[in-house]
Amino acid sequence: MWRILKAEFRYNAKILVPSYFIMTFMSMIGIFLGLEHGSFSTVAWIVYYFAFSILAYKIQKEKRERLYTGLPVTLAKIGVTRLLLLLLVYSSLTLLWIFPYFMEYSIFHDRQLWSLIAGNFLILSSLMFAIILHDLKFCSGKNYRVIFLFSVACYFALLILIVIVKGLLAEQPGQQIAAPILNWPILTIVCFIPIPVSIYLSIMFFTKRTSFLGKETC
Amino acid sequence: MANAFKLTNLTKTFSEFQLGPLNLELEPGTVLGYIGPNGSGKTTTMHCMVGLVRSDGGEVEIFGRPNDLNKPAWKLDIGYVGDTHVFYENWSGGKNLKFLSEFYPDWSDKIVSALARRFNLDMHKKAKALSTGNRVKLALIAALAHSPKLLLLDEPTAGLDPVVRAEVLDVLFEVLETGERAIFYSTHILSDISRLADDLAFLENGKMTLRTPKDDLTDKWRRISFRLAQSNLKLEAVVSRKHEDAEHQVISSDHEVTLKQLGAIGAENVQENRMTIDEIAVQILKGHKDVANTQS
Repeated sequence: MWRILKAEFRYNAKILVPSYFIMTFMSMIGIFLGLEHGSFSTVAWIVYYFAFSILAYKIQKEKRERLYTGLPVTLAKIGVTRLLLLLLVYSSLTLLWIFPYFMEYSIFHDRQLWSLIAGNFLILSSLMFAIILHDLKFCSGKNYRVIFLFSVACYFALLILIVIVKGLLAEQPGQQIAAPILNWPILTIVCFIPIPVSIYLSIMFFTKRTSFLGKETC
Repeated sequence: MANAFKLTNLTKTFSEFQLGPLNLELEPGTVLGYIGPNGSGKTTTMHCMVGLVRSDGGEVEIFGRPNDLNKPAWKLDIGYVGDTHVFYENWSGGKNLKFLSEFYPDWSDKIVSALARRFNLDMHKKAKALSTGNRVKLALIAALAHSPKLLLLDEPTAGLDPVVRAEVLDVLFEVLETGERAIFYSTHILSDISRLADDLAFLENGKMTLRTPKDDLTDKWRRISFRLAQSNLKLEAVVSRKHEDAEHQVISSDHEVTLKQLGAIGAENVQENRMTIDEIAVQILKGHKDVANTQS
């Protein structure tokens, strides 16, 4: 497992190092320009998007899952390795902008902290959803895909609804947010829930795939 | 001792194709040529065996162990060269092999060096810069470096020009002839494997039509010509027949039986000619039902 992970980091250094460099550079620019909290994290998320898109494209194009499936390694370990790669790249990229961000905005509102964490959980979940959707292409039973997409859509619809309600309530001065789900710490937990669920589903669907050829056969 | 591999009622269905139910086994140290036209299911069989595709039913055993992807120790016993050669494209051949070596306790750098020299392969070149022929060579080295007891070769020379193909086959056979390993070699070009194979299995439309020792084919099959006024002949073991007036030409899957019968009915000017293994294969794949009957 670690050997594959190590190989992936070494092999993808040409993508990762520039991403780390760009992320650091963007952070510096963000501080220099005095970007707002929201703009700061938006810039970081754009870097995530490009880094992970290129990484996923290369892994897909070079049929890496096929390469790993040929090795004497269990499927579960390969599934875990994919997630570890995602988590480690994500965490390292995040650290690069979170530190300057904290240094710049040393005085923090609770709301900002929770929204920052919740936002990161959501991005991480979205990346995991993409991996699961990819695996579902190779699982027999097309209904899985529909059920999964429907569940994800419901989850995001619920989140959007909560954010809208919060926004509406915030516009009314003196209005207390009564429902516990509308509090930021609780909302952050709601954003976190898909992560363990995705980890479980990702490993399960990977091990249930009917093909590892890198092309759809079923 | 367990079979090198054993397929029991193996099936795999795609939208317009069904493989099997397939029953096939190979003893250790034996070379089996797996012959069939394009689209007959050779590659699917290999994919099911190595776990790249999950079968719909049946069992695959490698040296007595099921090919369970969650207990992958059986993979240490096999070397596989498939229809696609997957590498880290921006790494050199040497670096790719170094990566693979970490997973195989019996990996031998000596074998790698010897084969690279023999294949005249530049190990410093990036995988993406290698020609098709050199990618095949790299894949063969990767498959052989851990001295597998079973080698699964899925049309390894497909797409190569004749010169490179001959070069790859020469080296490959030279290496394989010295080993005691079992080899399962799929191809639609029988001459590729006829030099090495002990047995041949023929596949068509996902079904195995015949499995026979190679020597039986070359010993028994003959093209026989003769003169006989009678045109409506019923000859045993004949799989193909044409005639012009009294001149007949038949292909027999058991020349002794056919000749004996021709003698009995008074055929004249009887001449028999040996057939190449390729010619026999064409006949088998063209008229497999007759052949299957006559062989049994």
